[in-house]
Amino acid sequence: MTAKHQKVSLKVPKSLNPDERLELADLVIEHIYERTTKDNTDKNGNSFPKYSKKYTNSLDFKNAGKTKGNIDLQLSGDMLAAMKLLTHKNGEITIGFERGTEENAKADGNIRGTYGQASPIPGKKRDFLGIEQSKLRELIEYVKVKSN
Amino acid sequence: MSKSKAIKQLDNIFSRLEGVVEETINQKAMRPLGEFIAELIRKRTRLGYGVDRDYGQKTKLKSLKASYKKFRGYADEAGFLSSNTSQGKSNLTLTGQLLDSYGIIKVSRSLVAIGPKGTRRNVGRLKGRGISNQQIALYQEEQGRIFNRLSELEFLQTVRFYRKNFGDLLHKRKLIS
Repeated sequence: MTAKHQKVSLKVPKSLNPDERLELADLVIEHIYERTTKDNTDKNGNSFPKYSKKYTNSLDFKNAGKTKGNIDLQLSGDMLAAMKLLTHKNGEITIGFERGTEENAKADGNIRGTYGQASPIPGKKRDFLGIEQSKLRELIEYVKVKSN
Repeated sequence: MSKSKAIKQLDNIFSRLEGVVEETINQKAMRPLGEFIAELIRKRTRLGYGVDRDYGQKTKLKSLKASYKKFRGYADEAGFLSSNTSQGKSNLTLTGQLLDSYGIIKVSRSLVAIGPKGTRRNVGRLKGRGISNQQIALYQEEQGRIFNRLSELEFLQTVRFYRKNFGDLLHKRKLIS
């Protein structure tokens, strides 16, 4: 199954210069990482569905040192490490994964709930790629104040 | 092949890290960084992947021969196959001693080195014979199962670990949470 290219474009003030857009993108990425791994919540603040019994009983789960209650979307940690700023321009930043990579495929599986299958598994999507508007505004304000 | 090749010195990784974070690595960060990197390598290898050069991509470790899988089946029945592996899984794990021993070998003002440590114990029918875990690691490299390297994505995980615990993100915890 071909994975969908996973990315999110965020509207940002046109007054931000390129360096400010880079700093904002970095903060957005680190926020997504923290929210995913510490709060185990998606881009809308909803808790991630629990891992399946088959997965928690697997050898990979044990070898990665994971615990059942921590739905942090990490096995090797490579997927979240690969999340990056793809492009930016006046008024917009786009964050996501490089097209065609294994990490994009993993992200796609999580975001759409497909996990390598043709169709999404009902109730299993973990859509982590995004940010609540209120948090984005807070980060934009921080970057603006820091620059002045 | 010298035993020292089983030991991974982290100076080139720390230099690259300093370039990325644009600051000199604090002395107090060196041991935690070494432990973090050692754990990344141990975990990734147990998951069945190797990396053939620093900053390369991880790839699945070479499959096991049928005859060796059969031996691993006997090991399982006899109770000395590690719970971190299975009969057919290629993850540099039989008894678990190699990867269990993997960690910090040396920390000094200017150098951190990680790698396998110690001498093999007798486990079940398997005799240690005075062989070191470093010799086992070198043997695995000669067989094409190279694991003692850091992939590019593992390097990025290391950058994040440093930034969160010793760098700029330490001061931005509330902001990004």
